[in-house]
Amino acid sequence: MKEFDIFRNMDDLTVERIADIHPVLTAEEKERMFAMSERKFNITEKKFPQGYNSETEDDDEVEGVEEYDRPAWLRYLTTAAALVLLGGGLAVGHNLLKRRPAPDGENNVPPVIATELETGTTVTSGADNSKYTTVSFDIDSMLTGTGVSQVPAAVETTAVQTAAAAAPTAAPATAAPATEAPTEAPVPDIASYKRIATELESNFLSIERCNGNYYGDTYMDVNDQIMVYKAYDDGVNADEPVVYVRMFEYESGINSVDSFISVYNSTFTADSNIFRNIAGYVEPGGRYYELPTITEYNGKLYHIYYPEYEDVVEQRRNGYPGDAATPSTWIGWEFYPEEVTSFIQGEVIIENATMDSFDAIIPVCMYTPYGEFRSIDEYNDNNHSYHAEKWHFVIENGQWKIQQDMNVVREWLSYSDYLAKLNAQ
Amino acid sequence: MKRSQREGHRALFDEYCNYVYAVVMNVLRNCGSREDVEECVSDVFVKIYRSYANGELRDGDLKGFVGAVAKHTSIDYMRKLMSHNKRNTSMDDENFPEMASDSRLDADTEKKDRNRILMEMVNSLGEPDSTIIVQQYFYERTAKEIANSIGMTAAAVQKRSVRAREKLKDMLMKMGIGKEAI
Repeated sequence: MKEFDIFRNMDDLTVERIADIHPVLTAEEKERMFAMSERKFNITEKKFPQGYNSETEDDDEVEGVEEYDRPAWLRYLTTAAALVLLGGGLAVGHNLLKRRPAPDGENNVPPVIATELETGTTVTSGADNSKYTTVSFDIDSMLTGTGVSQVPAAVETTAVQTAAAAAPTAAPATAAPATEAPTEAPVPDIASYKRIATELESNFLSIERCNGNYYGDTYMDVNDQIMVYKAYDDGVNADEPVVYVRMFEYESGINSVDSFISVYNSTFTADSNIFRNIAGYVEPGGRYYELPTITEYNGKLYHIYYPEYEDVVEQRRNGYPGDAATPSTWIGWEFYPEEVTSFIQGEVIIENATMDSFDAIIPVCMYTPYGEFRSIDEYNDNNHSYHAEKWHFVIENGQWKIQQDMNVVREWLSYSDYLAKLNAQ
Repeated sequence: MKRSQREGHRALFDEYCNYVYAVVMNVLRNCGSREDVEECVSDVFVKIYRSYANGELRDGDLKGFVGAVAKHTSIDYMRKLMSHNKRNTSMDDENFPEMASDSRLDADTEKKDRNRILMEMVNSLGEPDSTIIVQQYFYERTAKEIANSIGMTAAAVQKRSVRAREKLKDMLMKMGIGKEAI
């Protein structure tokens, strides 16, 4: 059963009221369904003209037998295709066998491939007991182009092409002529880079939402908490109770420590240092010297309630209610920003693109009603909290990732600078 | 003549499409896709057009007839979907639409009361929260679709939805409608 399925199995009267008070169909949906009903009506009218007793109509009833004639040429085509496949496989096998050095340098006799009828016959070569399936034509003559008259045209063509294609691979690199024609340098696929940048930035925003920059009732259930102790053992500080609260990350579907770490590792290169001690496991009531930002307990994800911004810390200190079970900085959830979230807003600009790296300028909208991110005000459009971020992307282990050293401030642009760059493209 | 018939269909469709869609949605919500719902709605209207053409709708309660056709067609459709999915469902399944039965009159009355209270509470959330809740949980629209229909951002819709849901839960608890009922 779905969570919060309050509208399950409503009675007729309530459904009627919902339809009256909360109609949902858009003009486009209405038009689509109307057209569908008209089309079906016309088909039904042709099949069962008016006056037909609708009681006897049964859409599920199947009548008659549809005759099916298998085209005769299909048989020849499939036979030819099968022969092409067999011939190609044998030609490749033969070629590979010829390239294989004899183990003792003496046995240079090529493997004998018998010509027998029908498939399934195995023939043992004198050299290495390789097994082959043979068919009723001579492979050698196929490869050399002789005996064409015995082989269907399609087979001959494929066999020659296969042999020709195999030739450059077999030839040693030193055999290539010095005047080899220059090959065109590969060109970065900008459209693909834009897509990669958008996907990875989207991952990053999901991670940020999980990582404590974003508090608010959309992402937290403050009534679902677990408490652990930060241990000091220094003879001065007592263990400090620390609260974790239930958190959600709707957009990305991150719902466990493992999925969080997985998204993180597939987004950033190993040498990136965006976050520290991002996720791990704790038990309620346990003592820990290092506390992870994200933890998982009973299949639910929790986020540490731990002040990270000094101005907020000061507010919390002032309002500290004095409850021994409450962290020293606690003054209640109402002092948190109502919601802080962000999403990609607009087209990505790609710069410095090579085949294995590029920079992407990504416009982002930060929805910050309480202005916690005042430090970026100079970049933001005042009304919309738009700005742009420049990220560096590289390939690591065959996978595109964001590379960012947080010791180097990442480059931010004002939204107007971003628009100017976009228009200049 | 052909044109007037089409115009008649259009008038019928415009008048009852939201109602039929809601009835079908109520039945197929847990087992069909959006496409299934739309397919079923179009089937309902084909039956209504044909009944209209055969003169079966000249008198009587048209809305009641439309509702009955919609309900029965969608239940048939649900059975087809279930069998197509190789899935059997029990008549006792809580998601299975309930059929009229004298022996269940008490339960029906209780359910109607619960639904009435629920809808009053949903509507008491005020706009746009009530619309967001209905569109999200009855019509299963995404935050983006809801945002488009009411002119807000998807993030704002999500935020209001969570709040409204919590508020609704509190109200239902206070009214003695427990978590198991919702």
